[in-house]
Amino acid sequence: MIFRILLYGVLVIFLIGLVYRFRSIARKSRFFERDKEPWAKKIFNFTATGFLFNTLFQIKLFKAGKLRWLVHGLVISGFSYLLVVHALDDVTSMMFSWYQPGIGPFRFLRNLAGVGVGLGCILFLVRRMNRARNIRETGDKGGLFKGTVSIFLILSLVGSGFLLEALRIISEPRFDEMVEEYSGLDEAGGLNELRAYWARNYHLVLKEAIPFASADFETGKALNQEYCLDCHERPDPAFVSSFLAGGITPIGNWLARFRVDLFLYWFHYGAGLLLLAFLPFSRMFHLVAVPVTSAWKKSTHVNLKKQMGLLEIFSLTACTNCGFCSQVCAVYPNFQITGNREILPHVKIDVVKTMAGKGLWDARAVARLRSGNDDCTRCGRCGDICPSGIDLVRLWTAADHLMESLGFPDNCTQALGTSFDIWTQPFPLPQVPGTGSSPGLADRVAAFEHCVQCTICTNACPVVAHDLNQNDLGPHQIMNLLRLGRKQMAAGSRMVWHCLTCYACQELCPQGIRVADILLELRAQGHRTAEQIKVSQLTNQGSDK
Amino acid sequence: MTEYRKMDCDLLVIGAGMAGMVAAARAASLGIRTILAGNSGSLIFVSGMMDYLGVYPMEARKSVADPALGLAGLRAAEPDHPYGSVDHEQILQGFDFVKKVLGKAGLAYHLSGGRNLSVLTAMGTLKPSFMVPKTMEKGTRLFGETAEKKSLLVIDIKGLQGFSARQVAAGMEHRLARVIPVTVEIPGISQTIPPIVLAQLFEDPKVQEAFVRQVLAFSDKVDIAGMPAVCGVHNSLGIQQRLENLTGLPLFEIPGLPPSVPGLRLKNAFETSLAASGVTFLSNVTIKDPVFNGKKFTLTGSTDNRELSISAGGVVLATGRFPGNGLHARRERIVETIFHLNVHQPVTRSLWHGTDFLTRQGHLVNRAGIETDKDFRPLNKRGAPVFDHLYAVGSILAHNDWIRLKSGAGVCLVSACAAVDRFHKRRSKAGP
Repeated sequence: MIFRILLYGVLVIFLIGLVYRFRSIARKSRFFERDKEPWAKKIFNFTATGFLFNTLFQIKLFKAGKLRWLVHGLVISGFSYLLVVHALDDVTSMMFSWYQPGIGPFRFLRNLAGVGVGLGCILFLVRRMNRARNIRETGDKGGLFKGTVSIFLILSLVGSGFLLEALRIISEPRFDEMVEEYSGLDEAGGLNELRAYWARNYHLVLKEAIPFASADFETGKALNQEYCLDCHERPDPAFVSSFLAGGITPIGNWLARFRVDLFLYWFHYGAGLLLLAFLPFSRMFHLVAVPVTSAWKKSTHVNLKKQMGLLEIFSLTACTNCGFCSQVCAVYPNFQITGNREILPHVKIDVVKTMAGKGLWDARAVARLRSGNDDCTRCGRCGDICPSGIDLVRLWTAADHLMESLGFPDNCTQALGTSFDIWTQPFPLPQVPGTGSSPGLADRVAAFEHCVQCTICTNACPVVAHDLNQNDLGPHQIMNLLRLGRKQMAAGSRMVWHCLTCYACQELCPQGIRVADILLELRAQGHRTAEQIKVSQLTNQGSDK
Repeated sequence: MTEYRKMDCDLLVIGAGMAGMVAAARAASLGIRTILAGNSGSLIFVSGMMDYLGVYPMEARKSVADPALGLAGLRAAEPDHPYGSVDHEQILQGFDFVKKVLGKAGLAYHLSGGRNLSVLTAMGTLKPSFMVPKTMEKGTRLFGETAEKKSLLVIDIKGLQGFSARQVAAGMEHRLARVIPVTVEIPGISQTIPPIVLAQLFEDPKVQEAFVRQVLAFSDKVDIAGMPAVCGVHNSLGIQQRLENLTGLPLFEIPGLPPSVPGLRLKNAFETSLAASGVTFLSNVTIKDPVFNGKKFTLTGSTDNRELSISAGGVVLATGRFPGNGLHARRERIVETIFHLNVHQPVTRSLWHGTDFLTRQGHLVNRAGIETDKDFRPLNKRGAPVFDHLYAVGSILAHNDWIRLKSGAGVCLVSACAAVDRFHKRRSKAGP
């Protein structure tokens, strides 16, 4: 009875959770456009093939890696089997009268499925840990166990299942209960013989050993055939559980006396219910989200323009944090060099999710996302590999729009959009070791004082040639600004931000001035200034609210 | 990036300006294994015209018509001048050699038959020169005996600074029958445009057609048209011919202020020639720390982030003067930067310059530089060559006020050719 109540309670939680997730997510998807209030709008282009193939056959995962697909398939198929045949046996056994959990083939299949799920989950974890370690080695501390709750829950479910079965195999009290319920045998009727038979063939562990005779064995066998065999075949096909049973035989009596099997039963059942209750709120939600996301048509270069600012939160819930996107990320080397984890797609997704969770306004998260998203080249490899079928390229462009609408544009836009009065006012330099503190080329007079303003650099510059009527200063004018001591002003010029670093200027400078290196250095300083301006503006906005 | 490379060659030419380029080309033509190290960017400063001897004596208020005559006077009066070590024939051969080298690289030059050519400049003045880009040739014919009957269209381009058609016209009005200044607008240019960028734009047929449309109206009114030297960076002659065909007017280019497009064409042509003739060009490599072990020189070449070791049988120093950093002016005296050679110079700094800044005689500092023997080998204080196989060529040479004598290219190319020839001769004599 209490199980029923719990089950229904959890089912209600599960359903309410699903509705809640869908509703809250649906309300968060927004279109972001520069200088416009974000508006809610839905674009839904259904693609049946994507939905069917990716849901049923996981084709995207298959493309990502055959082994990964195999392991994932192992977990999914094992879990499905266990769910239908084992967890819901009350329901399914009504349809299949020949089903008995205790007979050989089913014991074997149950163990096989359990092994599949357990092994798969362990492999999931190993991969996760490896990645987390790699990221921590190069970057700062990333949560080692972040996003692994569901995996641990499944592992404990499987583990407790095996243990429970093993304990039931050896448990004498359990044997006694069953005998009483199904046969009513007493010692005169051959209970001891049955016990002896079970101790020998069914791994039953007895409190007191029973002297054994072959005649008794035949009696036991006959009794077993009469009362037990219909439902209980020898436990050996349950290869894991009977192996475990063998292992815990020495302490079997002790465990049985304290009815640890009952505790495990509760634990096993509880873990299952917990998994169900948490499904809408945990990474397991991808079971629901992936099919939905897969049914979306991916953005092409044609419709990407139309959907540029669409931040579609629902697809984010399909993310399982598997990290394939980061493995193929074209700017992964940037992460290796700078250690900035926010460059990695799977981290960026997490940040967007965090922002979405906080109603999009989260200054810290915006700053983090900006620092990573600016390195993204929109090459699209992440979206191509994403096993959950999330349209990641659209997400990154949408994130850009979102941040702009929050008043946090990229540094170039910020720098060129800031008035020189604000740009050149002194900002406290960030106290990060190794940045901004050591004098660079632009601080060393010897680096640019030989400039004779011959304009060869400006003549050679492809940016000047391309941008004839918009470019503000040529490289030679930047050098002159430096000679006038206007470094900060130079760092805010269009030239500095649009420099391609083709090095034509530096290659041709008759005076051997490292023009391109200086421009790059100025841009690095401009990045710091732009961030400071943005952060100070964000902080002000925050205090206004 | 710390990899230490070793290179070996017969001749190392230091400096990739006019003299260095010619020296490397000459060495390659003689089959000498050559490395050229330096920054060729300074070639963008040169006008593209190559002078022999435009003015002599310095005080003269007009140019020399026949440089051979000027040379005779110069050699007699100033035997220490670099031209003192060569004769007229050698100079002519030097010009011819450079013309052929550039011609092979696709840049056509027009060499005078013996008399100086009159070249119209962006200042509206006439400048004497000896060899000019083919694209300027027609302009030099303009000022012959029939000049007073000719009418000229001077074209400038809106946004191009340092070139004014009206200024050129004002300077030429009294020499020609008629001079018409006109400004052409190139679509898409609303502000200023650097000359090299404009030259690149001129390679676009659409820009050429826009230019032609605006010039066409004057086709019947003038005999010939001059325009700034922006007829494309590549294939300038082809572009000019296309413009001539479309406008029906003979065209010529007028050299302007640096940075100059003809200078860039020259640089490109020299580099093309080097690549074709197998010279190793270490672009933007600075040479330092020379060591001579009795047989060979070992020098260090360095860039911003790496160094390499170069061993060479001979070295040609073509590092130029102060802008090229071949000479460096310290507070009290002038030094040579690589070999620390003896520099001929006034005894004290107060004598470097006279009081009249624009004096026709020039200043003593303009004649400072490296003194050499007749083979262009630098001399020590005792007047003996410092090394058997060290040569100095080009503007670094002493007694050479090339700006006032209008002899820059001539001194460069003839000293470069002579030095390399003599290195080759001396080495093949010493060799097996």
